[in-house]
Amino acid sequence: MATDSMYLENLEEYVNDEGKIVTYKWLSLNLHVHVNEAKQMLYTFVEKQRKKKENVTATYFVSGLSKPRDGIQLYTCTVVPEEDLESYKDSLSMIHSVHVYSVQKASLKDSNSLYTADYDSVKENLFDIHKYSSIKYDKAKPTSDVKRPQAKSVKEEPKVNQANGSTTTTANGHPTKSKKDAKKAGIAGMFANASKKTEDSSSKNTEDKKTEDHKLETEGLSAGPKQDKKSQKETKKGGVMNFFANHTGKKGAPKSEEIQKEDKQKEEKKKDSQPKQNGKGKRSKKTRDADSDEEGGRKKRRRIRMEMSDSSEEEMDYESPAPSPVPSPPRDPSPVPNTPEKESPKKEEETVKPTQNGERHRVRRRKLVPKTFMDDDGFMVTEKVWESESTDASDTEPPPPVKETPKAASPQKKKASPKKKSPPSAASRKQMSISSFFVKK
Amino acid sequence: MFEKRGHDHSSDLLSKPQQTHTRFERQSGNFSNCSERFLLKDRTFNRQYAHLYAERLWEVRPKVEIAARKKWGKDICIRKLHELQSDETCVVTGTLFKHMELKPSILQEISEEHNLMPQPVRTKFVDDSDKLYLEDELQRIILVGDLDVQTAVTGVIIAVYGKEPDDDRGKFHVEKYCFRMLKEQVPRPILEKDKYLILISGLELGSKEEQSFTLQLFVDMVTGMLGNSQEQGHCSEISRIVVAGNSLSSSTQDKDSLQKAKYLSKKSAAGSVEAIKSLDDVFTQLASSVDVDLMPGEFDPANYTLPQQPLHKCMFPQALRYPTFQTVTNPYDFTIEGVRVLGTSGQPIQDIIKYSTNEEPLDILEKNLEWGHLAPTAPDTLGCYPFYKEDPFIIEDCPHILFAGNMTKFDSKMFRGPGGQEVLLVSVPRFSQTATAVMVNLKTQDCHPIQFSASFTSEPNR
Repeated sequence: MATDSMYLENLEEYVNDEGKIVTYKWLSLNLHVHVNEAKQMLYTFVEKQRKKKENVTATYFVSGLSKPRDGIQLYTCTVVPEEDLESYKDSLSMIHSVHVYSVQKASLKDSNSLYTADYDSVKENLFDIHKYSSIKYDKAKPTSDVKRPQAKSVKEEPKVNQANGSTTTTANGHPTKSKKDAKKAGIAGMFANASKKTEDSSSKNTEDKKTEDHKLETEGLSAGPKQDKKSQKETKKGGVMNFFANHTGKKGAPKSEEIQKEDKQKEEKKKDSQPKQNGKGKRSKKTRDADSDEEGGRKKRRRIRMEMSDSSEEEMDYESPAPSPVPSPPRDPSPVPNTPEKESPKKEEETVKPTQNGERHRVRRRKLVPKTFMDDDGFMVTEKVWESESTDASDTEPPPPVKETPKAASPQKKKASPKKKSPPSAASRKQMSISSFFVKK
Repeated sequence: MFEKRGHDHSSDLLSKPQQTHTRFERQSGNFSNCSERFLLKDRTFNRQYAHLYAERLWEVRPKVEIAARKKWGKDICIRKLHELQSDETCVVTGTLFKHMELKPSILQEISEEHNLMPQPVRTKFVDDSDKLYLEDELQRIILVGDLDVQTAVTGVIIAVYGKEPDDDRGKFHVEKYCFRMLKEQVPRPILEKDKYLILISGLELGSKEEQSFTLQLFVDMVTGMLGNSQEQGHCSEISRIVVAGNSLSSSTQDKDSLQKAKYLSKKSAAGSVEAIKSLDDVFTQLASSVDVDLMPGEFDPANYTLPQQPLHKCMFPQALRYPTFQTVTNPYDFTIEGVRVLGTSGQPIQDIIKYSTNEEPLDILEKNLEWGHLAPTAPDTLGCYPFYKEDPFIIEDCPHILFAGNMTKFDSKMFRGPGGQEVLLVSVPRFSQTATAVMVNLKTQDCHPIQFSASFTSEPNR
């Protein structure tokens, strides 16, 4: 009964000293007692204070049947101040229950103060209130705090698209890791401060949790082989950030460390890693899109693009037989005048053919080539046609190892990629310099 | 529930604290949602409403003919309008159309010859000169005679018995009329224990006059916080709450921000955002203890045309963590413990009030059952989706409880149909005006209003 005696003192403190309005609900939530017990506590408190001639006022809750009016008997539930209690009870034909609703020092003018008295308490304990009420409902079991469905589906897309189990595992592993490692690197702190300012501005109304999870996941994902080219988001982070940001899974930990709690930071970092890589060329992003939710998803042509792990790997890339979002099958039949090309008329991988070695994901490329031929009617027709051109070798490395290669190389790769792109691309032509005349073929 | 049972426990809680308090367990009722037909599968608006009327006529006409034969004899001749011969007493079936002079017409508004002063805002559009027409697929004919024009509305399928006299062609003289028969009711099962269904509507959060404290009292009552043990025990028998529309107030639908310049209104959030957040809190508290169904209403962020689709789940992130909370269509049709309940958020009733002399919601609900249609004025004056192959508002199965939300006051009546059906008609009042909810006993079909209030005087402390 120790609690019982203490509550009286507590109540006295709350009411007299702090001038609070103590409602039964507030008391029950704060003392973790059943609501009925709280009501009884309030009652004994009021009685005691009366005996001590202390000044407290109380409001009572009365429920019962009203006197019949127009043949209808209303079941009323009312909160009345103490002085009106008796008269109110008389106005009812039958009383069901009476109990103390609240206790306070000064008398109340209206119900608003009663409402605000436990509003905050209720809001904080929204999911715990039912524990102290007298009714429990087994069916009402809350699910765990789920991220919003849209966010979820967006997150899942990248997971699906990335055929690498590694990414998903890193994604899962990361959140925990990152949190633990968060405090470590001093470098992390340095980056944290640096990027904080820019980050803060960009992140507005997202739920912290959501974004954090988002970030962590996308973090993990980006740490994986893929890079989302969030080229849209241009941030002016230094190259050093890119250096860290481009690390693969292993480096994901230090990366996450850097990020710590700064959600935005992470986003920024990721973006940094990607930024210069693809101009408008490739945007693979479902994954990264998830991040850019706040920015208002740039989901423009994500689906059509292949996911590219790296800009450098654009040429090679590929998830091999993976469920690539790119509609490569439709491109199969060559003599289809495919002039409205979605993205760059560059390489498209064919995931269908090159399944010779598990490792060589990309062997051929399709180029858009203008072909001239005579058609049935004897007319010469020039059409742009997809032709497959197989490339070999140096470029083709298995994507997982490719993903793992330190992104340290990425800045250089970025620069390299445009160059690499150009030879295969039919559209761009290098400018001939005079020395090319002397070059052996 | 409200009878005195033995010992008077009313002052139980005016006593010393006890450690043990009973916790009651709420039983989840046997529930099944029958509102599948109100969910829109596709949204094609490039159709005309003629299909809806045609479908209504096709579906209901055979039933009306059966009712006519039953009422007036098997050997009456039923004719289509184009087969009418003068001076022949026969029965014609078709759709009623009420021609109203005062009905707002967009063509009149923009026409230049009628460039009069704008009409004052009217609440009722009835006039003595209103005429009734009977329309079928091909023709229409004016109805005169023993038919009350003022209480009839457009869109009802009716069979009229009379004749078109030779000397007054173009008019059909009505002697008798009838509608389709209400289907036999599936008898409701006998329940052992009392189980209650609570209907509440018109919470209207987001307005200045919102009743936040009384709403909180309601929530506390239902979740078993208020009252003594006995009362809480009664409340544990509540098995479902249906919120019948207008959970947000009309002031949240303020379109002023659309008129203002963007740069002025950029930072201001719509009124409905805050209101929805507080609504989410309310429903989270409710859903932790009881099943809750939320219907959209006229002022809720849902579509305007009937049937209104369920409110989007993203608006209630906290409440949706509970499986007991669900958003449903308006109109809403469901079965609980074998009792079939059907109801709307009140828009069809309010529309009928505007376009006829019917005033009492219960009378209109009764007429709905007689006509066999929930919203006959759709699509004429009530916004409606252009259905193609179906008319989901036709009342097929006879419900046990028929309710309409957002009415001005509480009322209830037991309707006894010709086939022995018993339907409880309930008019649910607006909570923001009356702070009253309705409690229906599923076992006995009793209906009680519950009113919450806080009466404070502004006298200083004595």
